[in-house]
Amino acid sequence: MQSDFDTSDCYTIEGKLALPYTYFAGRVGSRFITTLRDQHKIMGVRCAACDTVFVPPRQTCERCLGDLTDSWCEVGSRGRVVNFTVVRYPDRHLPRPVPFVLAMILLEGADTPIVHLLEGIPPEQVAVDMAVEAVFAETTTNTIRDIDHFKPCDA
Amino acid sequence: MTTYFGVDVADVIETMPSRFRKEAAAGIAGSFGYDLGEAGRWRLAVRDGDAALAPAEDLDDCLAVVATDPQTFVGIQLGKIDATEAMALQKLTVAGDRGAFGSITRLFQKYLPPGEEALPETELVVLKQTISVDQTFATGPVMGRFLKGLKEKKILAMRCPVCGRLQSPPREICAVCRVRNTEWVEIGPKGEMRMLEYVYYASPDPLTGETRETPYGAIGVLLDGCRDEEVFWHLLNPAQLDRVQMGSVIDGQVRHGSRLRPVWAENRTGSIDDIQYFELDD
Amino acid sequence: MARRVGICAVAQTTYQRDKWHERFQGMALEVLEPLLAQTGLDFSEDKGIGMSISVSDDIFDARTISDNGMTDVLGAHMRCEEKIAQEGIQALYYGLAAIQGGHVDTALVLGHCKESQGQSRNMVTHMAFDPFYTRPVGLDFTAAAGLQAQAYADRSDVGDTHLADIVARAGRMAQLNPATPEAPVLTREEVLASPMLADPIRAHHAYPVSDGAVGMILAAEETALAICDHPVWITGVGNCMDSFFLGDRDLASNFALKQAAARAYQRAGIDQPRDRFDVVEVSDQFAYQQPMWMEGLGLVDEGCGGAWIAGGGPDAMNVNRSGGMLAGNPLILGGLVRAAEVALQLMGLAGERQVADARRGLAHGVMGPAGQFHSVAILERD
Repeated sequence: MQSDFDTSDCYTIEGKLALPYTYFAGRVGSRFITTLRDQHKIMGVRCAACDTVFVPPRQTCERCLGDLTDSWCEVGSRGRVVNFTVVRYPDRHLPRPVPFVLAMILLEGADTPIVHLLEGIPPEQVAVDMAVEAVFAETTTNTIRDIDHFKPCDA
Repeated sequence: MTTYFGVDVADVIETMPSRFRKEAAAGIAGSFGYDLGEAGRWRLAVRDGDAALAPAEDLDDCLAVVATDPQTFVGIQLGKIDATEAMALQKLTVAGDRGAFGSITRLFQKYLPPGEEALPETELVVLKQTISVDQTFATGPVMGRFLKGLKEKKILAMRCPVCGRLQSPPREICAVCRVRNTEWVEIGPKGEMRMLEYVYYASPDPLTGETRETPYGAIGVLLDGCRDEEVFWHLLNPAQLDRVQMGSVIDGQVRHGSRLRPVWAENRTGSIDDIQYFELDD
Repeated sequence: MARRVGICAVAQTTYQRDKWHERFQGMALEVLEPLLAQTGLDFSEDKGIGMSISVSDDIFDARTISDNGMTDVLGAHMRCEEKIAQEGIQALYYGLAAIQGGHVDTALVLGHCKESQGQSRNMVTHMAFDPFYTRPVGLDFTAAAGLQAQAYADRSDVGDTHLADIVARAGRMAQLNPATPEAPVLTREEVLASPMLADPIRAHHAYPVSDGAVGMILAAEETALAICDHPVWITGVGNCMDSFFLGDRDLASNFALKQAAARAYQRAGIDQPRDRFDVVEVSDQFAYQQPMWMEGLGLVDEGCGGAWIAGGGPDAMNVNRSGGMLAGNPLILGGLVRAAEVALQLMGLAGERQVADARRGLAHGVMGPAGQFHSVAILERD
C-alpha cells in the first residue's frame, strides 16, 4: 500500500484550471434580477398546488412539478434570521475578508429562506430570530448581490 | 368562430394586415397561404410594401402554404406553443418555399389579444465569468523523467516489453498489452510530418483561460526511431503552415512528409513547452 | 430474485495530505495491480473483467471528462468504461445494477482524487453552487456544513465536548488503519482549543485534505465464489437527492438520509435496523455528521447523538473503526472508502482494527452541500 518507489524523477508543475463561462439566468431568473436591480423589489414565485412561496424563484416547483413561470409575488425586503454561521477561513472565492456572517434569512411572505451576508453587527451578537433588512447595492453585479448584504433592523 | 386559449382565430387572422411592418417589406412580392383546417383558408398577398388578406379556396398560386389546426396556430401566435416543436410533431407543415415563408413570418408584429398591452421585452441576464483555480500538477516518475529529458534536449519514449511499441509522451503502461512499460528509449529529435491539423478556431486554453492565436498547426511527427502510429504530437512553426507536406502510409505505400526538427526554448524548465515548435529541416 | 453480487477484492492507496510524487494514473495502478493479483482476473475479451467503472471529478482533476486520460490504467482501453462523477459509492450501485441486469459478470470499480492539486478544496466545492444566487455570497461545502451544524446543534443534545470526543476517537481508530498514516491524533482538549472554521465547526472538526485511490472487484455470485474465498454480498442499496437550495430544506431533518436508508433496508429485508449491523462506516466529513447521520440511519434516537457519544455508542456499535473520513479521504471517495472498509471487516481482512466475527455492515456516502445526497449500502457475508 505504501508507495516507496524512487521519486528522484518526480516534481510538480504549477498550472491553473481557468475557463471562461457565459451563464444565462433564464427567463425567470432574469426577471428576478432585473426587478431587484431596477426596482429594489425581491420577487418570489408561489406554487398554487403546495402553497409555497419560493425565493429565489424558479420555473418549476420541484415538489409538484407545476409551471411557476407566471406565478410571481413580491416578498418583503425585511425578514428574520433562521440560522447562521460565521465564516472564518480565508479563501479567494469568498466575498468578504473573514470573519463574516452567512445567515439564512426568511423574508416576509416567503416560505424558503435565502443565504446571504449579514453585516452591521459583530458576529458574536447575531442571534436566531433577529429582524434584518436588505441593503441594496449601489452598483449592479446582476446577481443576488444586488442586495449587497442584510443588516439588523427594528422588529 | 371557436376560441382557443381565450382568443378568437378570426381576430388573429384579421389583424394580420394591421400588424404588418411595411417598412421591412420592401422588395418582397408574392402570395402566402394559411390553411387552418376547419377554421378556414386565407391568402395573404404581399406587394409594394403592403399586405392584403382575403379568404380563399384555392391556394395553388401561393409561394408557400402553412397548414395547421387553429389551436396550434393561435398557440404559436400567443407564445404558448413552440413552432419548432409543432413542426417536429407535424402539427404544422409548410409546403412550398419554406425560406420565403420564414421571412414573411418575421414581418408581423406580435399578436396581442384585445385589451392587452404590450409588455416591455424582458431583459435576459447573462453573466460572464472565468472560473480559475490554481493547480499544482504532479508529474509522477514516468512523466517526470520524460519532461526532464526535454530540459536536456532529449525526447524520450517508453517501449512495451510485450509488443515493443513506443509511446511518447510515455505512459506507465502499454494499454494494448496491459503491462507496465519498462524500457526507456531516446527518439528523434528529428522526424517526418505525418499529420497536420490546421486549426482555425481555438478553444480556450484551460491552463490560462485564454484562447491561443489562430491559425496554428497541431502536428503528428514520426520521430526517427519510431514507426507506424508512434507519432509525437506538438506544434508547427506558424510561419510554415503552408509549406509543409503530410506523409502517409496507404496499403503499404509510403509517401514521405516534410522533414522536421524541434526548435528548443532558450530557458528550458522541464515542460512540454521546452520544445517551442517543430520547423522544416531544410 | 435477482442474482447476488459480491465484492471480491478491495485495494486502496494510503490517504495522505500531498502525494506530490504521484499522478492520478500512478495512484490508480497502485490499486489496480493488487486487485488483479487477488482475483487472478485480467481484461481479456472472453473471460476478463466485463466493465470498468471509474470515479473522478472534473474540477478536482482540473480536466474535463476526467476519466479519458485514465483508460489505460483502468484496463479500459478499447473496452467498456463508465464514469461516476458523484460520490464514489454510486459506483458500487452502478456495478450492482450492471451485474444484476446480466450486462456483465464482473466489474472493476476504481476511484481517484487528489485534493492537494487545487489551491483550495473549498474553491472546488464553491463551483457546485449556481452563479446567480448562491456563489456570489461565497457558499462552499464548509460554509454550508456550518449552517447545518448550527441547525443540528439547535435541535440535538450534541455539544462541543461531544464533537471533540468524536475527533479524538477518529484519530485513535486511524492509528490501527495502515491507509491513514497521517491521521491527526488529538486530545479532547486540543480539539476544543482549535479555532472556529465555520461556527460551530472547529478547524479540527473538518476532515483533512488528502490524496488517494480505492478500488474493488465486483462479481456475480457464481464468479464471486470461484475467484474469492470470502465474497461480501451487496444486499441493499438506496439513495436520495434532496433540494439544491439550502433554504428549501430543513437542514437538521436528515430527510434524504432517512429516505436512502429506508430504501436500502427494504431491499435488504431489514425491518428494524437497530442492532442489526456489526460494523458501520458513515461519511463524517465534519465531526457533527457522525452522530447526525447515525440518527438519520435510525441507529441512534433522534436528537440523542450527544448521549450516544457520551455513553460509548461509537465503540459499542463499531462505528468508523477505520477512523472515518475524519482520518482523511478525498471528498468524492468518502462513501466508496466506507464500503471498502466494511468489506474488509466482513472479509476478516481488517488487520488490527478487525471486529470479531463481523457478518453484516452498513456503509454510507454523502455528496452535495450540507448532506444534499445520501447513499446507503448494506453488505453481508455468508
